[in-house]
Amino acid sequence: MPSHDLRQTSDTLFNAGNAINDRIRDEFFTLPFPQLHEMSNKAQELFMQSKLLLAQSVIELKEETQDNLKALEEANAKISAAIKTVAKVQQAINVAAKLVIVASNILTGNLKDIPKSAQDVLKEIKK
Amino acid sequence: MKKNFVLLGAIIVLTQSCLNLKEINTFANTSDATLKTLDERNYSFTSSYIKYTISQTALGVTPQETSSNRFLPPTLKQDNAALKINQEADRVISLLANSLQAYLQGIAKLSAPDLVNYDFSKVGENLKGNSQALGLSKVSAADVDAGVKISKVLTDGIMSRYREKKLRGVMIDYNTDFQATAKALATALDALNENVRRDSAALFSRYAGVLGNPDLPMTAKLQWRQDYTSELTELIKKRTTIQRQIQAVEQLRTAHGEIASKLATNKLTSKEVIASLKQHSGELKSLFSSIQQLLK
Repeated sequence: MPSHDLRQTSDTLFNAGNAINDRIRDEFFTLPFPQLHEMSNKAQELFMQSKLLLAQSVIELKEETQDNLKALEEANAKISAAIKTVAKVQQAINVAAKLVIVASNILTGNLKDIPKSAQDVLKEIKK
Repeated sequence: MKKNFVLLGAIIVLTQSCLNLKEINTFANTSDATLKTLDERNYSFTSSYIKYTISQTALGVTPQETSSNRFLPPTLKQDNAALKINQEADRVISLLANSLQAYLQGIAKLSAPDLVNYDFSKVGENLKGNSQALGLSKVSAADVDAGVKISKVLTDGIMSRYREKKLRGVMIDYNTDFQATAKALATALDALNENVRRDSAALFSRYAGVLGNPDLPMTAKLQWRQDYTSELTELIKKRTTIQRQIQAVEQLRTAHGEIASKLATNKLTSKEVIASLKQHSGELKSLFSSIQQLLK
């Protein structure tokens, strides 16, 4: 049953329980106790059933919003991708900083230090 | 000279966009904090089922029992099927709230002022340290520092523009889904609010059934009445909290819709959008404060 219908049925039971409560309130001092006790039980039963229907109406909302929830997940994935892109720029800057040293080693013919500086660049890329 | 003015203009435009993302960041953070109050609520379908339906329903209690017992014995046994339904309803509320929160946290992260604060200092240091080898001996240290600063401003600005474009796109494209999810959450919270009304009404039925017993001594009646009043007061407070939370979710829904509709024709940095973000952040902040007061 759709959420809206469950809610309406719950409201109907609630109204019925309230009508009994109203009668209890109005006739509290005149009603014979056994009758008042029975009415109290009936009203409580109606409220219990009404509450269960309310909970069921909420459960139905999950099914009804399934597509929207999926779409929001998709939105989150897009946001995460954008955040990663922004972070990658800093990584590129760090690589550029390391590349300056590699270039310097190559230009000065400092062959011994080239592997280490190149490895530093690779480490930065793998981060 | 002309080139310098163009560069200066570009820098001014780009740095302005950095400042303006603060408003969307404040809005997303405030909205997230407001939704977080839902985790702190001390009333749920499950707690209501256990506390009120199972422990307090006076069904089947005989008049003799009400006159001889100070506290009514629970008359209902826990029904596992009913318990599961209530637990599932609570899970749905959490799922809806968590989905909206995850989205808003993403918006907050992407618009965070410190996300775009690129560090070029190592590039500068390495250029200065290797200027001879790189054939940059004619370039002074001051020039390198200036270049580093300009690079930073330009990169920060360009990436802020990128973030702005992404945020704008997401908020427009997913507005319908945000609206539907927020509406479902408000409906679910409204059902919870209605659940409190049913608990209050059931309390009345229960106590009326006890207080109407002619064999009950007056002192016991007074105690029962006191119990009823204090429990009802507690439920009224819970209802007020939930109502405020519904108001906050509705406010959030309106805000997102209004901002998304303004973004369709304006930039995220436009005056209209900024004013809207400021207004809604303020309203949400005040709702957040009042919810926190009620939760204390």
